[in-house]
Amino acid sequence: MSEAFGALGKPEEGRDFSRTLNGFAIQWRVVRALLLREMQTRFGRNQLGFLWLFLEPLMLALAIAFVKSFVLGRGREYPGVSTFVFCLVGYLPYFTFRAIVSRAPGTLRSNMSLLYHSHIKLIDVVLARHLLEAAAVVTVMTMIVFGIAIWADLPPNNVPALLFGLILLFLYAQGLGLLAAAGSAASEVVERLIHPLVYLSLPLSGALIPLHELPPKLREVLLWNPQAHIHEMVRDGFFGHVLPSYYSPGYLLFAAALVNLLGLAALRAVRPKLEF
Amino acid sequence: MSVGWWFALLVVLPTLIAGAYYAFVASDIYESEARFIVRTRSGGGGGGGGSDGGGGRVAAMASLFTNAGPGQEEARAVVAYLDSTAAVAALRQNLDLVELWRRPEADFLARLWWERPEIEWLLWYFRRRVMVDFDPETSVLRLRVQAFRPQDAQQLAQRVMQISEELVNTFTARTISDTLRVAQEDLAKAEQRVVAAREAVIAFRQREQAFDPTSSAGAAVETISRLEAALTQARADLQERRSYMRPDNPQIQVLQNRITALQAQIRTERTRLNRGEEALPQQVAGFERLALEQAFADRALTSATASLEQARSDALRQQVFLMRIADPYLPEYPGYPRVWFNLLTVFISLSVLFGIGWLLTVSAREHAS
Repeated sequence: MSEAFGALGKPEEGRDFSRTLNGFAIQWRVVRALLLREMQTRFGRNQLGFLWLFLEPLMLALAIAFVKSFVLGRGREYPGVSTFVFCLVGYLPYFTFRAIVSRAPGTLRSNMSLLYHSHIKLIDVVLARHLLEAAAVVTVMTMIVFGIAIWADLPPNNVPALLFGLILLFLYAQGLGLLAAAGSAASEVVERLIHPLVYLSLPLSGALIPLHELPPKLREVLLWNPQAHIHEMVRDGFFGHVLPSYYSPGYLLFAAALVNLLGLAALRAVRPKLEF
Repeated sequence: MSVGWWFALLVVLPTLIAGAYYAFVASDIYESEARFIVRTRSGGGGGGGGSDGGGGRVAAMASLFTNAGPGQEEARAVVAYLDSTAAVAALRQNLDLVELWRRPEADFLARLWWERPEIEWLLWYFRRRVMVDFDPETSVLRLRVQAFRPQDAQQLAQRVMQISEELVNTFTARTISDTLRVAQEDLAKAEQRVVAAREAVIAFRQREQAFDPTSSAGAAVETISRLEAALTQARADLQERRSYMRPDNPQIQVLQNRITALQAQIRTERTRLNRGEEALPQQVAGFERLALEQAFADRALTSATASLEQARSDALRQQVFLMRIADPYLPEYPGYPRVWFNLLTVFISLSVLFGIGWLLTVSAREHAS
């Protein structure tokens, strides 16, 4: 990394700055082009890809709501919080998280040939993929939230908190995705581990159980996981005071920034292995 | 400019500015802490034990489901109260909050910024300086109060405890008066009903000149039936004697006279029973209605008395009170601001942000090369 930094100490300052701006402009164009290309490959041929984005969280929420209310009998229920909506709101962020993090290794492999172009850098490919995932999931979330608001008569309680939670979710997942991409490029073992780790994070993230229901000791342990903060924040944005929530935006912000830094650095570190 | 310069400008310089603030400007902040608990007389969670029986178990189960033990609602109410303008207004009545947080030794950033703050701004500052945490596991409320002088912190904490206690006491007073008021109103109503029923009976007796129409009607019916029995007997006798006596036998005459007399008597009795100014059946019906009302009124009075007793003991059991665990102490060491923690936070956060920005810039520049 030191040589990467060292190469940048150029003497002419005015040109330096304009070159940076120019670089950003080019990068933006590259990322946009890649985004369009990703969209083609993912949703281009048939609409099933996009439909599946809706169906998966809906089906899972339905299944859990069914199991909870018929198999386990009436559990603890909060007034004004239906199990179905609760599961949906809990699962969607996890769904986004999983989509970004566990697809990250594949991103590099499937786009390796693009790196022959000198303007396309490793980070552009990853960024384009993440932006696409984020856009898709935000669309799904918006439509589902609207659906819940209309059919279940349950409008989100605090839209800014909901939105901010989703943005933080995206940032955090993007950092972890960068790390995952870099890690899987570095070693195959890491690539194999990413999927199980992402699934393992489901019970640890408190996606499907409100932290309020857990014993305080366990809650404190879970709150070390930034994902738990994300889920609590999204739930707070959706349900408000109906369901007491525990999260700290500061901690979440710091965690997101930290994984982004580590991810960017790691991606830079593995670059010699991949670029040409 | 090289990375080092940028790092110095964007990370080290802000950290140094913050450090200079803490070193030369920032004033000491003292924190006083107190702990208390809000509990009901019944208290003790699910420990109702055998004497309470089913009710205790149901209540314990309910508290399990709602995560709320006895007194928890009130404790949460105290937390909500201490987060409101009502609490600030109550505190201002005998404590000058503005002066307390604008002491001369307070620095310009940490002190209350307005000389005559609107209540909203004062509440905003109040929330920064007065913190209440509720631990649902132990039901203990922890109060932390910050001020620029140790005495101020302690005094304010004491005052906050006081207004919390007053709030809890109003809860109790309200509960007791509410529960008792309803029961007492019921009792008064029942008493009035009993008196009215008694008076109606007395008025009836005076008006009808009859002590107990039911028993006199009974007596009349009995008289009639006795007369009828005698009549039947007399007729049987007559029939019997006719078989062996001549019709002009004086004994038969006697019997016939007797039968006539009995028939006349029965007729009179029947007329007396059924006709006249106030016929006996109507009298009986009216009287029985009154008697029934009297019995109901008596029973209502008994139950109202019992429920008042119950309400009294309930109210006593529902009493909520604030129990002090640890009184606010006089702080000796200024625990705030936490200089090193804050500086480290600033430095690390800025470094991370700088790192991200730098890596993004570097990768963007590569596109232009």
